[in-house]
Amino acid sequence: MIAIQFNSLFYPGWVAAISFLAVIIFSWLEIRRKQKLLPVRLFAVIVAVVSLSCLTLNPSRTVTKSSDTILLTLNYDAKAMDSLLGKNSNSQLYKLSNVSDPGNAMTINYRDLNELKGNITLLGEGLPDYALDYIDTSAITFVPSVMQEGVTGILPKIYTANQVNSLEGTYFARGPRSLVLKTGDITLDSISVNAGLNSFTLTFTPKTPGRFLYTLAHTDYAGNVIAEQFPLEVKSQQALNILVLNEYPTAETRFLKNYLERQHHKLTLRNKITRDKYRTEFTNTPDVNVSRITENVLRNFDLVVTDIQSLATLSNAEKHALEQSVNEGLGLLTIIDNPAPPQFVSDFLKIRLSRVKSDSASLILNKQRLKIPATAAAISSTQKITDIHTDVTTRALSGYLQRGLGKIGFQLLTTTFSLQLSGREDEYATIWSNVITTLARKERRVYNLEFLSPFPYRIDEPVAFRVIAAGDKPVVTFDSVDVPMFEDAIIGNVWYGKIWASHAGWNTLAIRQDSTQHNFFASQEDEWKSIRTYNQQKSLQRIASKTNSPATITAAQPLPRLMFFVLFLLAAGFLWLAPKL
Amino acid sequence: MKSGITILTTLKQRYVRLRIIETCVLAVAVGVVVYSLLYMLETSTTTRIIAAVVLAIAVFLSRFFQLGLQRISESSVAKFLDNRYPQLKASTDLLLIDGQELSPLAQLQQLQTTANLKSSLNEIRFPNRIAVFTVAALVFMFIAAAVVLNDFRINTNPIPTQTTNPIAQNSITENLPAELKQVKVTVQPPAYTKLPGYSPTDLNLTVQENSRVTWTLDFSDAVKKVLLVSSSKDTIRFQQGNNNQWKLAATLDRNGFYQLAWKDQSAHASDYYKIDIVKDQPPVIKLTNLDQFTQVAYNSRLSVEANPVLTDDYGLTDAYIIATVSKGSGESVKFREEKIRFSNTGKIQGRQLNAHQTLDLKRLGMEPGDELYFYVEAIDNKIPDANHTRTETYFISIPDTAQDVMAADGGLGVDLMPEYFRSQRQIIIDTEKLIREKKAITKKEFGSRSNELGYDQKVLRLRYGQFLGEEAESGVGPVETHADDDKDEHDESKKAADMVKEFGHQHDTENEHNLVEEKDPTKKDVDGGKKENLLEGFIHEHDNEESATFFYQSLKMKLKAALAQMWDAELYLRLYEPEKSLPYQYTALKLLKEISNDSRIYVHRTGFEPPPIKEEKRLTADLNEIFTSRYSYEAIVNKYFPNTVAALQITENALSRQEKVLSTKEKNVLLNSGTELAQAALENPALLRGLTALKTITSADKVVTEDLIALRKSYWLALPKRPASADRNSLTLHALDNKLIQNLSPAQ
Repeated sequence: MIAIQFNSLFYPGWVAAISFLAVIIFSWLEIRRKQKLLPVRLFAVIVAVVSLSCLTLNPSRTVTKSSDTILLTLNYDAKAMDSLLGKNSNSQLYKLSNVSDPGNAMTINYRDLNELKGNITLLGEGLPDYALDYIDTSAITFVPSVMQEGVTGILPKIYTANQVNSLEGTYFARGPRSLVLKTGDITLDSISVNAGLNSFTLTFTPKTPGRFLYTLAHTDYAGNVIAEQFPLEVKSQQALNILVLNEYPTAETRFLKNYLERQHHKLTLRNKITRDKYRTEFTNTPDVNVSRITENVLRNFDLVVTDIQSLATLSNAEKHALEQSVNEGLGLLTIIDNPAPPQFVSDFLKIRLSRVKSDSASLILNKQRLKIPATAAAISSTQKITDIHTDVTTRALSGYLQRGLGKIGFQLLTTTFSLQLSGREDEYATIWSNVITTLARKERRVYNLEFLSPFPYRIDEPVAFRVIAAGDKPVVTFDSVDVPMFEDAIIGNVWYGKIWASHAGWNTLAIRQDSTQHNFFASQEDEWKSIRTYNQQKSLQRIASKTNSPATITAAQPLPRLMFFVLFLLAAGFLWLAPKL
Repeated sequence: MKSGITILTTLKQRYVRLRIIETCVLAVAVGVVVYSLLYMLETSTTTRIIAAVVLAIAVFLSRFFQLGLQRISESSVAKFLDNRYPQLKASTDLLLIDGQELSPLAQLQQLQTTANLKSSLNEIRFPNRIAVFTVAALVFMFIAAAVVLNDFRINTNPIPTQTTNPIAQNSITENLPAELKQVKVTVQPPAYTKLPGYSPTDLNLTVQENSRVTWTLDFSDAVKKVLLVSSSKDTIRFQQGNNNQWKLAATLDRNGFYQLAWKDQSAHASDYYKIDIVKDQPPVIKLTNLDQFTQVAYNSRLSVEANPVLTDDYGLTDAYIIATVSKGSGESVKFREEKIRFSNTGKIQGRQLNAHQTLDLKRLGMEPGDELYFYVEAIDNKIPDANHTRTETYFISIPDTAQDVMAADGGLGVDLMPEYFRSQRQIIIDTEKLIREKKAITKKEFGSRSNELGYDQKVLRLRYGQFLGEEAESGVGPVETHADDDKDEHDESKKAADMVKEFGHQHDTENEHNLVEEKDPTKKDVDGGKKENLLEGFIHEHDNEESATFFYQSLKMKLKAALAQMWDAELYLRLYEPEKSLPYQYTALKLLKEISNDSRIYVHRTGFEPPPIKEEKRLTADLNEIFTSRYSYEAIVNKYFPNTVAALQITENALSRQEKVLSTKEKNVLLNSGTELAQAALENPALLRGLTALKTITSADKVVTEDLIALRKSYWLALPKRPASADRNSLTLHALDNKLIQNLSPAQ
């Protein structure tokens, strides 16, 4: 017994009533006509009205189908498909629009994926993240395609100019391969990887800030060189406000001052002449009175560099002001030149010094080994010390403790200027830039935008992002159109949004309230396929479950409407033809 | 016998067949024409075939209906036959009617007509155009075949015509811009080099310094002006010759690069070419077989050979030795300089010269104790200013005959102290060292060293004993402590002091440069072996001569006491008991120090007299006149290549876009970067490609990707590598972060 259900366009009661009326009227009209074949004409009238009404009533019958569905995506394993079909030949075969064969599979769009019911077996590379929203993921089995060779992930990072930056990522190789990072045809760095899933790090030093397209090239098994464009944004460096407190001028401070001056940082250097009388030098910054250290004075600085003696001569009020400012974000760097400083200094810094035999330290910088004089002490503390530079025996030469929002740092290297004198300016710069950047006060931003979709991004595919706000709701614009955002349900002030890249190349998101810009690059369709495949397979494997739904499902299959139309045509045609016969 | 109607039917069929064939042929002809037409218009194959077939079918059908072939019936055939063939007597239509219905006359006529028709069957010809159409079709097919096989196409793109560049011998074979037929370069090195002139084949010139280069340009048409744009000098104009030939001669003396530019209706410029200058090197002098410092003994042959080998790249003009003799020493030294020519050559010329000269020291007037310094100098033939080279100075000395004998006189007492004289302090150090090493060395060694130290102590004692005028026998005995000896002893002490001052070279002293007057040595303890005796200061001992606590007022007494200590020290050293001798040595040292302090005479230092210290002002901790000082300045930092940085970003942006088009503003930035790029190109010629690319990009409308890539590469290479710089990180504090930090703080 075939069950018929109706999926009517209009309320079936009305349709039935109207058709009944129509039958009556047209039959009466026919009877009135004095023509031949009255019974046949009446029959034709009934058929015509019924078929018309069926067109609106849309009857469909329920059929039971096998609930096994096979969805084929790119690069699916044909043998697996055959074996699945062999196990259950009633499985329904679907394929995505970009899969070319087999011919007997029905093509399905991403949007229609919600029609697939039952046990869905996905074969191939998988579906992109936004397509997973459509599909019913309660009973998915995933048979991944063979993993492609190539880059499988790149860590998103902020790159800064004039510093050694590293590009980190993972690479899946079938054999020994080499990766090269180039700009144009100038090679920046290269690395060899072995078979399997490797993580690699390529280092480079961008010379200028801006947006660039580097090339990441790798050779494949056949020796072909595959070059893909890697977009990166290099941000420029911002000037810091640094206060140096000294008892007397030293060569170390002078060289540090020269180094920082050349990079447009603002420096204030206070040397003591006698008690309460100071000589202050201001570079790139207006005069302020720093004879007395108060919170107001310290608020304008990002880092205070001092030494043991200067700390020892600070009054209690000044020490208190320093501590409060560090709590609010200021960085404090103490150059420890005395292995046995006064107790109150150690207490103020909350560190303990223990003596060490050697008064020099070997450290490895920029892949080179250096030996420079260092105070013969080792620092320890009840709090956790984070190292910035260590020597080869893992003794911390520079490090810091976190205090509130700021950091209290120490440095045991007291005569680094000798590096500059011997021409090793790069190593000098590396030591000091690391220390200063880590310790300096961080710039407070009201909004922090982060892209949630992984690299690479494509045209007309959604890019999800999140904004953590420390204030009002952010107004994010893309191509000067406001992007609608929704707030996280549990955590306040965390907003999510989704945009579609409109053109290839660099696209910009801007937050109106603080006029910052965040760029992302939409790559071409055929670039970075290995990353996409890897991510798709990973996310599918995460959601693939082993639960099975029932073996058969019922579905409503509509009766072909063409049949009703043809019936109607025939009936009407006969009625037209009848008087002519 | 066939009936008439059958014949008519046959005829009708024949006619229809004919017409159909004719129509087919026409359709084929049309199809072929259409196909070949579409082929010439370069449409795709499917289009052509479909169009041809469709049109052919259309033509067929239209002609079919035009001819009315569907309506042809036997009656129309009959009508036609009647019209055409009079022998049928216009009665063919009778054949159409059935015989039974006709009258006998008609039947007769019918039979007659049938017979006529049969007989004239062969002559019946239907009108058709088969022949014409067939011929037409054949012709069209032939034309189509010709078109297809010869690939005649109506081209919408112009076929590029080749320009020929006639290249003559010895002229430049690189890619020259249009209209410049030929470039010829001749290089004439400076005359003094005696190199011949030559014509290089490459416009990148590597020439000698100051050589004269002539460029000759041949143009195909007249041009208004021709210029040479170079990096070192300004633009130089060419001189026009005849037949569109332009000439320029210039002297090159600097590295750089140049470009040829000419203007007729528009400006043209060539590529950038390099200029490398080969400088005239100064002459090289090699003096072998001669050390820098030579000593010639007086009794040997007083002559030195100097055989320098002189080489120059283009030629030498002069070479000689400059010799200086110094006589005497100290204040009365005298110098005499002489210029000596080489002996084996007269005039100096040529590229290489093996010179020879023997320096006869006797002829130069040297005596023992004198020294000769000489060096070789050479001058080459560079014009205008020659290069000089001189070697290092060689020293030849004749040592003096008078010999300095190191006298270890043990009693002359006149001279200075001998050099290996060990002072008391040294002996103490050595003794302590010996004691420390006692365990490590053998007993014999220990003993012998101790003995040696004893010997040294003895020598020292004897030295000091000289001042007392004795051979130092006393000192073991009692030492006088009488205070009333003061006066005479004062004189004696002065005498001793004089002696000490004149002959003493005191090592064992403290406060050598002490200006402050010495305090009265009234409280002095002499401890001859006892370590700590707290009651010492309060006990008067007179019995023991050695530890008597009365003061030694006189110098002589002190010296005698010192000698006595030394005696004891030596005793124990010789007895191989250095530990016991040490205390005596310490005492001796102390006494000696006191002695030298006693005998010290202080003299005013001449020269600097510091102003006397104003006690009321100094050390009052008055800080009123000390002011805080402030010093504020802006650091002048050169911005590295600002235009290049901006231009690099523009090139990157252009390369990342799909359509590589540059706006005028961007082109201006690129132009501004040209000067910086040119500067960098002077040092790094690899950047010339970038300069050419820059010129192409800024002057043309369309931008070629290869040029952009080359330009970007040049910008990257031009930018210098700078050391790492400190930076500011950023932070967004969410409300939760604030709470966390607040909750963490009490724990600290």
